[in-house]
Amino acid sequence: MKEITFESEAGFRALFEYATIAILVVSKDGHIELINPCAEKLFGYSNAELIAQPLEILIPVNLRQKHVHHREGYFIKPKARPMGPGIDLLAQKKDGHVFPVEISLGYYQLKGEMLAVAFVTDITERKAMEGELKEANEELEKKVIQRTLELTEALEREIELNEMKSRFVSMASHEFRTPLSAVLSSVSLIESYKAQEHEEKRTKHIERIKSSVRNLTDILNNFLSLDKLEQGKIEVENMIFDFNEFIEEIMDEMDGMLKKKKQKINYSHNGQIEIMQDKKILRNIMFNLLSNAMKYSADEKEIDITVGLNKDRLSIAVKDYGIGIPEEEQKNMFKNFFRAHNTINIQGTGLGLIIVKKYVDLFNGTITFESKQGIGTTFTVEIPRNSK
Amino acid sequence: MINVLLIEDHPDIRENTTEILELAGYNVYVAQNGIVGINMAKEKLPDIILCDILMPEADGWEVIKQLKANEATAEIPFVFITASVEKKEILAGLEMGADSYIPKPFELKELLDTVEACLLKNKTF
Repeated sequence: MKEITFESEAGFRALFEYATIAILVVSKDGHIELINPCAEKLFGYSNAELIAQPLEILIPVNLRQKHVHHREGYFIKPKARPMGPGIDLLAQKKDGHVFPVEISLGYYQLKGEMLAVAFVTDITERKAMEGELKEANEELEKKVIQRTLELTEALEREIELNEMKSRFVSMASHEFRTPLSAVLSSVSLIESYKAQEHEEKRTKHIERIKSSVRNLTDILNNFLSLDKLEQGKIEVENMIFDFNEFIEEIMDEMDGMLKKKKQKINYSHNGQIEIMQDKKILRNIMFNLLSNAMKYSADEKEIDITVGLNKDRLSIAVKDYGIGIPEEEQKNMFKNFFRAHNTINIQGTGLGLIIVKKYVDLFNGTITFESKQGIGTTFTVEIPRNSK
Repeated sequence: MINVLLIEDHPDIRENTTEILELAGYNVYVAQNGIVGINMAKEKLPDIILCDILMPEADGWEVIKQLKANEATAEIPFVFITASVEKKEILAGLEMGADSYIPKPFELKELLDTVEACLLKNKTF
């Protein structure tokens, strides 16, 4: 290797003067001995202002004390090395502006005196870029987390949808089999009762078949209503009718079921009688709420229907004294196919309430409920008296 | 007279099944839920038990568990009447000691044949 030599001090001076890095030479007692033009420019001082000044003039006030300590330490064991690796170093300009720097240190001896050399680079821009990069990274990381979350949610929705589908299939299979059983066994029995004197029994079984078929039709209608509701295909047909008569009709319709369970409905009505609404939809709402109340109450329990009708609003409360909805499951009551765990052994499609909710929404109304497990449930529907 | 205990919560199915069995000459005890069914089985010691699975109060699984654990009722032939046609449920029922099962919807003949077969099987032992 060829040794680099300079012919004279002029060579070193040129290196010093033209260097684009700030160079400071400091004596053992901490005074500035030499600075190059780049350092003058960086710190905003003139050469004369800095020479023989303590080096700490270039360091923010709060760090000066510490620096004195470090500087003294350096002279005990001088070595060419970067200063404070891994630490954010700060310097201060004449105008007080504090900025980040990177410093490497070296030393030499002159006439028996130890001198330290500091090479100072302003890293404001790099720091800013690092900051931006860090921010960008953090932003990216946030986005990744967000996307992952979205994907997980989409996946969960997909899984939920699939589960719903299989729940639907098994529910539908089960829900259809029971009325079909009634039909098939009644048909078998009609065949057995061929003689004239069994007319009464035949009639009973024909009625039973009709009622089972109605039950099947209701389940099917629920499926269809939900489908139509979800696609926004329901058209509201308003008519003026007598609400008391309407309730009587529904109670007549449910009489068979009521008798089977030996249950009783208490109906009380306050306020006006006439209402303008879609009667079919209202019937569907009432029918679902009432059959739930009956289904989820024991035999011989009562059901209270309380209706209030003023000039603007209709409110219907259906109260039962049945099994109630477990508190932790109440939030799921208006989800498709959802059934609380205490209904596992009671037949049902898990569609009635969601249909009611959607119909009520269609009327711009509200549905709320209060329930306590083992005590009973009250569903309250409020809708405008006159649909627009 | 042969005594049959029918445990079924659905009123129409309960009445129709009872009627079919009575017409065939059986004496039928009826329970509308699992708990009543368990008590009635212990009290009446019927010749055969027909039991639905999905019922409020105690379900069919609970009924068979309790009756098979009870010495007096453990040997009574037990038949599930079920709306579930899932193989694993049917197998689970047989594993718990059920002698047979009748899937819903069932025909008169299917019900009577199964009851007869189970009674016969029990006699040969």
